[in-house]
Amino acid sequence: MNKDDQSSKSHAGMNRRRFNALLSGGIVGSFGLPIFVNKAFAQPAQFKEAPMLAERVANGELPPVEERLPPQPLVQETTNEIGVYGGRMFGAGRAPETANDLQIGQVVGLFRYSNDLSEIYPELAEGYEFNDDYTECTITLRKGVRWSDGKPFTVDDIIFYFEDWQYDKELLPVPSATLMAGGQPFGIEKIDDHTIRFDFAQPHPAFSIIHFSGGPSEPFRPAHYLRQFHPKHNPDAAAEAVSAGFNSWQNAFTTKANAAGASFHSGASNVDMPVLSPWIPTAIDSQRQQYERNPYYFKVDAEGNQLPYVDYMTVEYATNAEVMNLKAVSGELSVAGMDIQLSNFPLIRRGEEAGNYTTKLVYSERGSDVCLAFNQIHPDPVLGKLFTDVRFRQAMSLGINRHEINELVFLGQGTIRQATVNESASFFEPRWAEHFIEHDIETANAMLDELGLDQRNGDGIRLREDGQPLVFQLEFLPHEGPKTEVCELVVKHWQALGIQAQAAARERSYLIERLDAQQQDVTAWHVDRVLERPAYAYGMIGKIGPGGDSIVRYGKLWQDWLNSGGERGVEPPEEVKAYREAFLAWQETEFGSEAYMAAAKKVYDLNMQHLWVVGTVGQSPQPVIVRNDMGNVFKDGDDSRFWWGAANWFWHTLRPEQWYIKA
Amino acid sequence: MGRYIVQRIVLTIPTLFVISIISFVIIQLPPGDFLTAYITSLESGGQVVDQQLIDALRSQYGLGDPLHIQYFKWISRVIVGDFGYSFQWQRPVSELIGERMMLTIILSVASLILVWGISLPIGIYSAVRQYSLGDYFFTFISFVGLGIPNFLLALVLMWWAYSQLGMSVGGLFSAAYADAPWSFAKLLDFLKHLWIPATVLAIGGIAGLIRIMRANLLDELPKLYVTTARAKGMGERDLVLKYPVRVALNPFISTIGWTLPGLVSGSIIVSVVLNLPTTGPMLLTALQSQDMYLAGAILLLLSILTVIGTLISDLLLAWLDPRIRFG
Repeated sequence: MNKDDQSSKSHAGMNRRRFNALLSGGIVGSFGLPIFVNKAFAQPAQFKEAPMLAERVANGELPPVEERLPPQPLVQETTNEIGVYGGRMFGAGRAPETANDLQIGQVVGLFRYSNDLSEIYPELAEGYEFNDDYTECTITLRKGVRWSDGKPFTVDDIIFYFEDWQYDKELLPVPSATLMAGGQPFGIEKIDDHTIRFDFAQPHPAFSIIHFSGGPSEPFRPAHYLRQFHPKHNPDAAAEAVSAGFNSWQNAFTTKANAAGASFHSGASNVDMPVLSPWIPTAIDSQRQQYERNPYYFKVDAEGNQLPYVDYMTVEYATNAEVMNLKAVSGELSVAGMDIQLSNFPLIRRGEEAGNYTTKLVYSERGSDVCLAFNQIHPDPVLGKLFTDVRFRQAMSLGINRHEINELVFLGQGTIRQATVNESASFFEPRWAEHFIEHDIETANAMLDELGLDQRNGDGIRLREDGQPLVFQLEFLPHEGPKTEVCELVVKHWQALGIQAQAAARERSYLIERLDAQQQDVTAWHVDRVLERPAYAYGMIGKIGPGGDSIVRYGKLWQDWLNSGGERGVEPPEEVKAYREAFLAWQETEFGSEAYMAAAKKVYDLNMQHLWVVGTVGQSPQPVIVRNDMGNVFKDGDDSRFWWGAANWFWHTLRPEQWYIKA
Repeated sequence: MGRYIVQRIVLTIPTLFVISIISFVIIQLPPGDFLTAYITSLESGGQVVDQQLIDALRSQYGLGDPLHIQYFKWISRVIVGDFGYSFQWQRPVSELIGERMMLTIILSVASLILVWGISLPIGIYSAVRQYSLGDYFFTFISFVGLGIPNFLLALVLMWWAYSQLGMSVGGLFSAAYADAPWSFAKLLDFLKHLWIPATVLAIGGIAGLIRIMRANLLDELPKLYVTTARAKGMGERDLVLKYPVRVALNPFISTIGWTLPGLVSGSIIVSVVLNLPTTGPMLLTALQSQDMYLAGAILLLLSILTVIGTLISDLLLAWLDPRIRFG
């Protein structure tokens, strides 16, 4: 029996916190071994394939299945039962550039997380090994894996990704922080076709390729296909790009290199590029994406049937959330989770019979489904002084009635908590989540009075130190969850403290412009990437990291200063520098070690102490609709699973290649 | 007449040129560009988006050039029929618009037929039988129709079709037929889906046109030429249809010019609500994400259609109303 089964069995009759504590034990325990050995599954003696492929083999269009599979294909553990071949799955997505429920199954990783996130297991890679001081990491690839056009997948595809894209100064002048250690790009050495060694400028156990595996930005691309778009390999690439209508060869290259679910731009955009995923994108238009099974996919089930089971997939774009929900409840979608709103839960349950589906509630991974970030470099000196005072932020946190938000917006199912790491982390401490979350108007008022806001005008509005009424805006994007509802409640709660706060929904690029210019007052977004591994591998990029990111951007100019080594931006106060140092120091500790636990505690203690980002309600459940004719989507009898990790920007597996359509 | 047409067509060219400049400038007016949204997606993928990277991306996407250079690059390609590449979709603009054009036209024509087919007879009836029970009834209905916002009606109808008729909603096809080649079954499936958007789009239009027809006809009916015809013993039915109705049709014909661009943009909100694969929602998202080549192409297309539509209106009016003369 594997660990997966044990934890799910022992989960019966256990509350969530205890369950998570048990998982965390598993995380630490599972990290004794530095290198992974393939789990000892019996290799099937004979391989079978889908009827549609057998037909193509018979017609001479494809080599036989034994030649398409690696000599030692990955034998996948059976979710519930062995499936049957055939059929088409239907899904819906919001836009080409956003992830969707089916597309996420398209991400193949060198390594993968187990469903409960406690383990990493090998996929395209067979294993990895760090040297003793964590300055080198050697990754071994599975032999005989092929791209969907039949060409072999080798170390060259990884080297191409780094040297000709991520570290190519003409494409990306500044490499991603996740692909650097100690501010330096990795050193890369090819040992042989299936072995590659990375060297780091300093100990780097948080190596993102290991701890961040299975995300949409996997570190490989089909070099044999993409070289034609790169001037280093094709001198005519620039001219060809311009005549094809692109502004530059870089623009053309990036467009071509983006594949289904395997890029920052997670939408499939190039059907010509070979993939390693279970399904190949075959057609993309402005309304939908079509996929067909990959005849070279490298996994088989326990009986030697080549995966995936399902022949075809269709993902349709739905421009609006109501249409998405109606499609799901009318039974049109095989699985739907990412864009289904909890507030629709009663409607979803009522439609189960008519729509022939079953609903399951799974947990969101967000540390806070809606969080609030106060602009720390405000152009108005009076407001700026208030916002940078931690007592003000604490008072604002106490002023929020999280219980009411949870009841009205999350049907009482979320967890009232501060913006901090997800409670599944091995080092989680409840005090981080409980810090200043009670609704205590009296204390909040007293704290505001103490800050010099004790004068009020005739309307009961508090006056700032320059005699103006205290007015500010809570700006938000009305996307991805119940931002509007929560912001309106928060503003109401703050108004009760004598602050004239206003909720203002913004258009995306307008808000981003304001954030770039650091002109906003308070912004609302969500806190994600607070699961253990992403937080560790991401370093200081996380949303509650120094300065925040994207829309939780409370100190953009601090980030500029930190990233440019003091050349640009505004020098941050000492506590922010300390916070960043703590993040970097954490990354230099061995995952799961005592030093690791201590370093992580320091990071989240600092985060709690300074409360740059205020949380509301987090870890709320997510309804997932599964049509009754779909098999193997969830493990039977297991009711505590995460859904797609899109919220944390890493895609953990529910093994969609094993899903099948029941006859 | 022939000379007039040629003149109009020649005049179209500078008009379109000016319009293209204006639309390009308008697209650039809001703060930010496509990159502001793209950069957030890079950041969420774990990139440090440094100013250096932003500058590099700006020049890679051709966004670093001054506005007039960007315009010139764009328009010189447009002249040879190349509308450029959509940033958001990462596909050629002409392909994207082409995919959606056919369905947009079908939908708009269907609702136009519905609007005219219903509002003309009712408008005539209401005028001829002014203050009758039927007139009050239709007046009431049309005010309700005018009052209900289209998107609300779309939501209600969509819900009703799902909960009462068990229909799949959103889009113009069931999943099973979406990519199937055209067949009789697919046509039926299409018609099954078409009625909701066509009805929603038609209702506001019907209500408005009933009022216009009624009012215009009421203006015409007491005129002397009607009395004269009646005095000469002309049958009431022929009389009304042949003369006053023809004159009252004037506003219908003169708005044809707006119908053509309406094909593309008129139904944006309804199309977004109903998830229709038409060009309207595409224009909306292109403007939101500042996908300037796509937005520019659609706006240019709108302008061309408006210019052509106005020309058609003028010619039809000349034919319809003998009082109009050219030259």
